[in-house]
Amino acid sequence: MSDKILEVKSLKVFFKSRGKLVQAVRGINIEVGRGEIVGIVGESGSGKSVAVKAFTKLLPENAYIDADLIMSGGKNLLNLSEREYRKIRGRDIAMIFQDPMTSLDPVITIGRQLEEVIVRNQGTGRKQAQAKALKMLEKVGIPYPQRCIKQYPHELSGGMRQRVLIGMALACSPKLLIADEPTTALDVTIQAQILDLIGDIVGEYGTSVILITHDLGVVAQTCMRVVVMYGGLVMEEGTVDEIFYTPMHPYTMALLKAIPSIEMADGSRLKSIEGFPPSLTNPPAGCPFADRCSYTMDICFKQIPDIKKYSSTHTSMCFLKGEDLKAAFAGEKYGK
Amino acid sequence: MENEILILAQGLKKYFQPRGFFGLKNNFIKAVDDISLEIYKGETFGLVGESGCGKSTLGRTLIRMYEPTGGSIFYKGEDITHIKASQLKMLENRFQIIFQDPYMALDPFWNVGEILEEPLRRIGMDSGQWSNKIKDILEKVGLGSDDVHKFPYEFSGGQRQRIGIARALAVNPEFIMCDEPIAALDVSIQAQVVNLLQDLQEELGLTYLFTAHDLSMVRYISTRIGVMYLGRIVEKAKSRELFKNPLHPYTKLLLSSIPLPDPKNAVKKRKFKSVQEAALTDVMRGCNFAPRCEYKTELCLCEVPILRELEAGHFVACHNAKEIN
Amino acid sequence: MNSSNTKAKAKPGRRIENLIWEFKNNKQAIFSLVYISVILLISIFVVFSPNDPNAIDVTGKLKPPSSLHWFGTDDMGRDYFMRVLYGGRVSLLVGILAMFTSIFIGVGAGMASGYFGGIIDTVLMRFVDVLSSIPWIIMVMVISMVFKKGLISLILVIGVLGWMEIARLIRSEVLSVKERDYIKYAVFIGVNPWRIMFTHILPAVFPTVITASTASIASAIMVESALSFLGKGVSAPMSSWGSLLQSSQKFLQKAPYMAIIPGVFIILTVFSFNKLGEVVRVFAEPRVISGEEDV
Repeated sequence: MSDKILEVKSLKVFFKSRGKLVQAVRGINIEVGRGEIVGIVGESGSGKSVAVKAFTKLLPENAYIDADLIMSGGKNLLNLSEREYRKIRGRDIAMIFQDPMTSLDPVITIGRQLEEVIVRNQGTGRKQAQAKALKMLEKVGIPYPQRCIKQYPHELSGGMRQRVLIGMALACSPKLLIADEPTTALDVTIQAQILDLIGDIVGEYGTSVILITHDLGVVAQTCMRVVVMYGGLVMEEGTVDEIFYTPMHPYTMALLKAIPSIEMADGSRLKSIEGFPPSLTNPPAGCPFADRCSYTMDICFKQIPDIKKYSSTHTSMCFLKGEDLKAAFAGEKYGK
Repeated sequence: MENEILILAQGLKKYFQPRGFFGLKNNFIKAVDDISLEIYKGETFGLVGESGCGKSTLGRTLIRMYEPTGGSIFYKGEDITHIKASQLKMLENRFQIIFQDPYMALDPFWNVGEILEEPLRRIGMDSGQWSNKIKDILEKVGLGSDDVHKFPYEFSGGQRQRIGIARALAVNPEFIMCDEPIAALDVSIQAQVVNLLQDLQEELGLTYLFTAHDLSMVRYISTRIGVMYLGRIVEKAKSRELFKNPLHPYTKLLLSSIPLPDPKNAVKKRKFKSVQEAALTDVMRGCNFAPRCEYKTELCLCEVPILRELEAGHFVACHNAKEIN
Repeated sequence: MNSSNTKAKAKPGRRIENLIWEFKNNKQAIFSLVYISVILLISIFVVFSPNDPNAIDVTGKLKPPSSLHWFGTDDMGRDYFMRVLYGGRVSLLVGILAMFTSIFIGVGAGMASGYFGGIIDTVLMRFVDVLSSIPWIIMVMVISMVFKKGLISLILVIGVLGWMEIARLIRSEVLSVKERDYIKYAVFIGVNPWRIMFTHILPAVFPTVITASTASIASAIMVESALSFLGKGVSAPMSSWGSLLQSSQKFLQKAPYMAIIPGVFIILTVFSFNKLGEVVRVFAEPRVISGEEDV
């Protein structure tokens, strides 16, 4: 992780809506190294989607971004004008979304759309762009690229459309690919293929990927590092092994216990997390998870915990000491 | 498990006919194609499959929300396939449904009390007893009696799903079709709802038909599971058996696709080709899965495999099931 | 909007809160509200004024606006201010009653068409197509020739011919609402279709009805003005803004204010009703309009 593709320091995002202030992201740090797949997990309302949209300035008008630093490719993105930003988007940072249909123009053929992206971002001629488009489609595993470039988006299945979008995003060999719930709308068998594809791409191009998802299984299978978000804050961060085998935050633990595993014994019960996520218009003064946590102390309700470091990659935001957490989690069975 | 069959479907068919341009009739969409199925009293029958495989249509046809195109449905041995609307009333109390999208399932203009009164009014309960009954069921699903006057928008997704469950329970049903009830919920909330459904089943002796595309959750909640592919059931077995020993190539593909929350247990590279998924309207004489199947033979392309009992209680619809396994 | 409700107290006033917010932050909306209230109040209470809009004064014809006659006088020396106020009375009355007629027919037809579908839908919608394919103004003129000239027949003619767009709008709205799960549930448990229409579907399409009705008032006022301008509307000595506009034609050079004043009133009223419709929609929409939806 010598060179960082993306470095974000104390990012905050607010929305002003009808006189109310919604605090979607409340100060998070994120780093992405070259060729790294970082997963951001969280529930709806955790701020995971908003945070990455802030890097690409794709937030609605009523959003306010505040950060100490958003560095990408040696440039501080905070100081860029809208025009300079447009160059970054697509060329340096590409994004794919949950619903591939809405990201494609329904009345233009797949081939044309791909070519346009290539011509615009690389300034090549039509002919070369066409050849490149074909190559990209082949690369993302579309069975008949020759036929596909003549088709319209509605003629393709959801999985194929997502492939096209990935191809489009990669056509300009971006340094960072942000995938916002790319497989949520897809079936499991197709999801598996798309995740494989994303993995292959990292291997081949050295592209870094931020994968946003709510599915811990997806994270475990695809990512190298995981950022767990809750209530607009990063609760825990670490490598997949650290997060899944030695979680150091009660929220991460609770999440792991809430998913049934294939090997679960018959008649055993799921451990549900009681209660509901905190309000973002009026966030709690203390740890956002305090309300639902089974290890709360008085201090948890009063102030936001400091970040504790457990290894060079593993950090967690909890008042409990490391050894106390380890002891508390020792008896827990989950996942595997 | 008691062995009384609550619902029995034989050769059930449900076709949709979309209207094309100028009212021209298009090909049928065979959402449910010749399905035979039995659901025992007190069990949870899980239906899994990808979107568009017809699992939701099958469930809705079983509870007679949809009119079947062919085949027959029996409820406790009584033929209810072509039962008239007036007699359906009897069934409505017995069959209920929980929807996937908790935002669409409740009328945003009605408060919780009014939402729960709707089914009560239908069964002709005396309006004097409503408030007690409503308090009672709200408590059962973990909501407070002061929630009666709130509107759906004041609740989160998980709480709304509880209201949906309360509405289904209001008429003391026997059979509830849970149509992807957790698909739209957050992970931490899913477990709450699933636990609630299980508690209620134990307490009230309910029978569930549970559809989902999240296999691990279905595995966890179901007694038996049916795997559907493009309108047909391709495999049916006890839940544990199905996961331990899948016989149909499609089931194998499905199971190998589940991303396990366990980084060390990396999935082996999937061997199935990324063939364009076949559409339901495609005229196919053989096995629907054949175009994606690596074991396909001549026979698969021209003859529909029927569901055979390969091992005790384990049914599979594949010509080559024996050879593959 | 998933997380705000953890400990939310019952807040029945949220919709009103939204409405107030909308008004506070939208100057055009405040203007429209004030303007329409004033116009409505004046129209109702103007009859108690001692001044007679029909009092002729041959000595003071076509006087420009002055402190005595705020809007000047017309070609028969009548006080134009009073005539405009009385004209507004007629215009608004026609607008509102014609709106009720169109809404009644339009919403009824749209709901029936959308909800029952099939043959009812086909027949109703083809009928709508036929009606709307005939140039509207010609239709109104022909019918108003057949009917007795008068306020009631004017209202009916405008109302009865103005429902087609509303019916189409409501129909498409009903078609999408019908697919919602709560309606499917009601059908499943066998709730009477009429009950479903009135208790589930009508509230759901209500925001559209409100927008359609304010737009419909606006268009009825326009049509009335157009008809009166063409001489097929209200008859003298009764006046409406449209008929005032029409009679001002002859004096455009000498007394341009006679055309400008009713013209401005028509424009402002139509604008205000449209604006108000947009804002009031917020009240009728059930979903909380707060930023948390975006998160």
